[in-house]
Amino acid sequence: MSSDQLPVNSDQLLVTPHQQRAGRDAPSLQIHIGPLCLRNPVMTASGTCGYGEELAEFVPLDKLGAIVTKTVTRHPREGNPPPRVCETAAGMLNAIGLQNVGIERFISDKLPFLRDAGATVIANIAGEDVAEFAELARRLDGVGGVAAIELNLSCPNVAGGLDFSTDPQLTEATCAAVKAATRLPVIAKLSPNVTDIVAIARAAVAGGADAVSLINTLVGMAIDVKTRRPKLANVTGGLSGPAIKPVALRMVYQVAQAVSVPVIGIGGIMTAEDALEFLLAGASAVQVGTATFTNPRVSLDVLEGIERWMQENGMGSVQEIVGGLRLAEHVPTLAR
Amino acid sequence: MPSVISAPILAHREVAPRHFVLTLHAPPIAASAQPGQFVQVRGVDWVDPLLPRPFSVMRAHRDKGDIEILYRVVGKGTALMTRWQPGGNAQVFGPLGKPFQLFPYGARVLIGGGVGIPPLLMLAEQCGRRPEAMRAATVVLQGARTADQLLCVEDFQRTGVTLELATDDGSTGHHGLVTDLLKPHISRLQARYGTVEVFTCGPMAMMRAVAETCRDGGVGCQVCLEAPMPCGFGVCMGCVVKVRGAWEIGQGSRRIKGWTMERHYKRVCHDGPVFDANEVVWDE
Ligand SMILES: Cc1cc2nc3c(=O)[nH]c(=O)nc-3n(C[C@H](O)[C@H](O)[C@H](O)COP(=O)(O)OP(=O)(O)OC[C@H]3O[C@@H](n4cnc5c(N)ncnc54)[C@H](O)[C@@H]3O)c2cc1C
Ligand SMILES: Cc1cc2nc3c(=O)[nH]c(=O)nc-3n(C[C@H](O)[C@H](O)[C@H](O)COP(=O)(O)O)c2cc1C
Ligand code: FES
Repeated sequence: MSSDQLPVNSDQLLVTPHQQRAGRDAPSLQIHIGPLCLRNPVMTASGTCGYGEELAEFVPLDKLGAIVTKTVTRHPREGNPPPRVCETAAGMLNAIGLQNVGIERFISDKLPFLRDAGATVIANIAGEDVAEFAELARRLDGVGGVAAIELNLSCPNVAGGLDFSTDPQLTEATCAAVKAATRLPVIAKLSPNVTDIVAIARAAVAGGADAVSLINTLVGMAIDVKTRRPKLANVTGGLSGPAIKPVALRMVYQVAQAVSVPVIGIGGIMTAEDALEFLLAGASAVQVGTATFTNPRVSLDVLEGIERWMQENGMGSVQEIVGGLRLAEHVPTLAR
Repeated sequence: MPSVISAPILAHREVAPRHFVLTLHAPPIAASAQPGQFVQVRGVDWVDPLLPRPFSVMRAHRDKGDIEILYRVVGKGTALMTRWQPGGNAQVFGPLGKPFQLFPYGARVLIGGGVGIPPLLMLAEQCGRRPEAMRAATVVLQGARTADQLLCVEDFQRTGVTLELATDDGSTGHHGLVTDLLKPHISRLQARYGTVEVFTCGPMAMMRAVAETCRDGGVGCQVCLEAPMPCGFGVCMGCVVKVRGAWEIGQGSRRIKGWTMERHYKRVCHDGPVFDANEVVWDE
């Protein structure tokens, strides 16, 4: 990737001598997500990297900013019947139905591996009600090897799964209950399947969330015309991949303007350039999801691409990129 | 350990109507691929289609570092692949999945059809390297609709193992289903060699019929399953198949396996694609 294809040219940047010096040395990729300090801004998204074991065959997990583990629930879940996935234009639909090993086996069987691999773990959880979210968070509070908790407020593939993130009151109550139950940093993961994502993001922050991450998948469907059947057994599923990137970017931009906490950008990121777009729009970090299916090492490629771009542009730290979008004067602001 | 490679395309040729063999230079994959394992293949710049396509490894030339896959054109991805030319590159990662398990003793029947044939060719070539006396203990049964849909016939013949063919229209070999051929071979080989293990890959209905015949005949059967596979390396949970709970006692040849009433989903890509036929819940 050459720097002139990228959204910001080096000659247009105001580079201070300090930054120039920093730029010649390896740039600092470290970032802060509220109280959480990550070695770099590139993570793998929940549900697209399992619990790390298989990914570790391709990627040294301690190189990534964090790995966000597959959503765990109080009890193991067997998931939806197949077919659970189908490809769509520049993306895919999934209706996995939160197949997972449950919180206890996550702690006993999955965390030790991640800890030994030196991974920074963000544990993604989903409860059936506010109390269960709090209970899961409390359970994770004491165990070693979890750096933060991400709340899956928005899984569209389970009955009632949408309730949390479409309702500002429930979102706020869930975040507040989880914050009260754990000392770990709490990230609220938001659904794009709402009319006003800013209202939900504000509610999460009001509830005490240390950061918000967005977006989860967009609800969609596909039909096999030959058989006249839905391509997914679950009929509908969550759309992910490059197809959703523009929507995700717009939502990250809106939310970053409206809230004071760090925003984590997710949706269709395939390259370093995609990730830089999210950072410029106001995200402090990114998660790579579906792209990992196209190439298990892609998160490392994204990271290396960001580092190279920072070097080429004399950037000393990631924080200098965050929110660096340039707007003409008098652009209408999207945030309300 | 699997690798991700931008692999030079060395050769690409049509071997039957709408069937192509693609040769890629991928030394780390060639070095370790086993029969039944697969690779995820994708154009280096694909965005639409986006996801890699899984294909069984048909040959791994360890000395040259090359692998061969055989694919049938069925949709968007495989149609794009037909345009790939030597000199270009393809993204490939693997080898993935659990291979067929071979026991050093006993007779083997390899039975399949369609694009289930590539992994069976790799297996047959391995069986062909058994001691002379044991070569006759391997039988390959291949079925197709018509004679021109049969795949790799000469390659199978070269391995030195016994090959029998079946076609729906009778244009070559047995007139009827390939599964018709299975039972007599099992009985014959059982009488002669004691143990028989059956290996199958092909259409679901065929594999199910093979599994039933083997269960009734009391012989072991390994099936190589297919499923839509977004990732292929076990992280997405998209490719599951329903299986029975298993128990096991003893070790090696003394091992006894059994199944429970419990059912759950396993990933075809990572826990398979090769499964014990008795483990699979066929009526789901
Ligand atoms: C472990 C594994 C090993 C495989 N090995 C081989 C192999 O060695 N050779 C090979 O040719 N194929 C093999 N396949 C199947 C192959 O992956 C698919 O045919 C391929 O992904 C289709 O891609 P496409 O983009 O052309 O079709 P898509 O555009 O994805 O699909 C087009 C249409 O074809 C249908 N379709 C998808 N797969 C098949 C299929 N297998 N047969 C008929 N119709 C299908 C789809 O339902 C859809 O309607 C294997 C699959 C798995 C899971
Ligand atoms: C197969 C699959 C499974 C997913 N499972 C989860 C999950 O368990 N929990 C969750 O919060 N998000 C889950 N997601 C959503 C992703 O984490 C991510 O938010 C979304 O896919 C958008 O990013 P992408 O376009 O980079 O994939 C899943 C996505 C996919 C494709
Ligand atoms: S294809 Fe992703 S788990 Fe099997």
